[in-house]
Amino acid sequence: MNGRQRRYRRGFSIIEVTVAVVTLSVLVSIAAVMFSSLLKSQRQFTLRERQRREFVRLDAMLRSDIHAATSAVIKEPDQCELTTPAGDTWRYEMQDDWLVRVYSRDDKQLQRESFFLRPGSQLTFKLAQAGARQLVEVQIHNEQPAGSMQSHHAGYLGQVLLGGGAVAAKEAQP
Amino acid sequence: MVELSATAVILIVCMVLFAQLLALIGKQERIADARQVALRTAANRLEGLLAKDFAELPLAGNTESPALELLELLPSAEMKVQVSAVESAAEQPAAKQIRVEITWLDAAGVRVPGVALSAWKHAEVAP
Repeated sequence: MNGRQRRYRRGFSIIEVTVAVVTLSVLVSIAAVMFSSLLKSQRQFTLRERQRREFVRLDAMLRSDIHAATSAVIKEPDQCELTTPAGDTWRYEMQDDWLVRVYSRDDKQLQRESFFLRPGSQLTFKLAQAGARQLVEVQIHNEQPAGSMQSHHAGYLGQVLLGGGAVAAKEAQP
Repeated sequence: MVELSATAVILIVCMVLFAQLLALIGKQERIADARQVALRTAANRLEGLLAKDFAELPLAGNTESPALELLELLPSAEMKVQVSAVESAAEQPAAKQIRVEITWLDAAGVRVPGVALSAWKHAEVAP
C-alpha cells in the first residue's frame, strides 16, 4: 500500500522547476546588482564624508594661520608661504593628493600636517587686493569626469584677510 | 502564478524601499554640504567686509546674492549683510557690528535661519 502511495505522490513538473530556477536566478541577479550598487554608494559616501571633515579642519587652521601671518608669498599656484616678523612660517603645498601644512620657526620645522584631498583635486592659491589689505584666496575643486555617476560634491573656497586684526594689518603694510 | 506574483510584489517593495533609502542619504548629504558651504560663504564675505576701513563701512542692511557655489546647492539662498553701530564704553573707540546671515527655504517652503556670523570692527585710534 505504502509503495503504491509513493509511486502516485505528486512531484514537480519540469516546467515548475524551470520557472523556479529562472525566478531564483533573476532574484539573485537583482540582489547582486543592488548589493554592488549599495557598496559603491557606501564607498563614495565615506569618501565625501572624509573630505567634508577635512575641509572643516583645513578651514579652521587656514584662517587661523592667515590671520596670524603678516605676509603671504605664492611661489606656485599650489604653494603658499605665510610668515610673521617673529620668524614663524607656515607653508601650504600640494604633495601628491594631499595638502601639506608645515609650521616652522627660525627655519626649524616644528609641525607637519596633511589634509586629505580626493584624487584629482586641484588646489589654487591667489592674492587679492581688498582696499589697503590683502585677501588670500584658497580654492580646491575636483572635476568629475563626464558621465560620472557620482553626485555633486562641494569644493572649497576660502577668502581670508591677511593679518586678520587691525594691528597685524598695520604690520602687513609696506 | 501566485508565488510568482508574491515574489514580484516583495521584490518591488524592496526596490522601492532601497531607492527611498538612497534618496534620503543623498538628501541628508546635500544638506550637510549646503550648510558647510553656506558657513564658508558667510565667513568669506565677513573677511571681505573686515578688510574695509572703519569709515568705509556704511551703516546699512542689504540683501546680496551669495556665491554661485552655494546657489548651486541652495537656489533659494539669500545673504543679508547688516552693519550697525555699537555703543562702546567711554574709553573705547567707536565700533560697528557686521552681521552676515544666510537663509534658505526648507522642504516645506519656509525660510529658515541657516547660518549667521558676526564681527565687530573698531575705529583706529591715533597713538
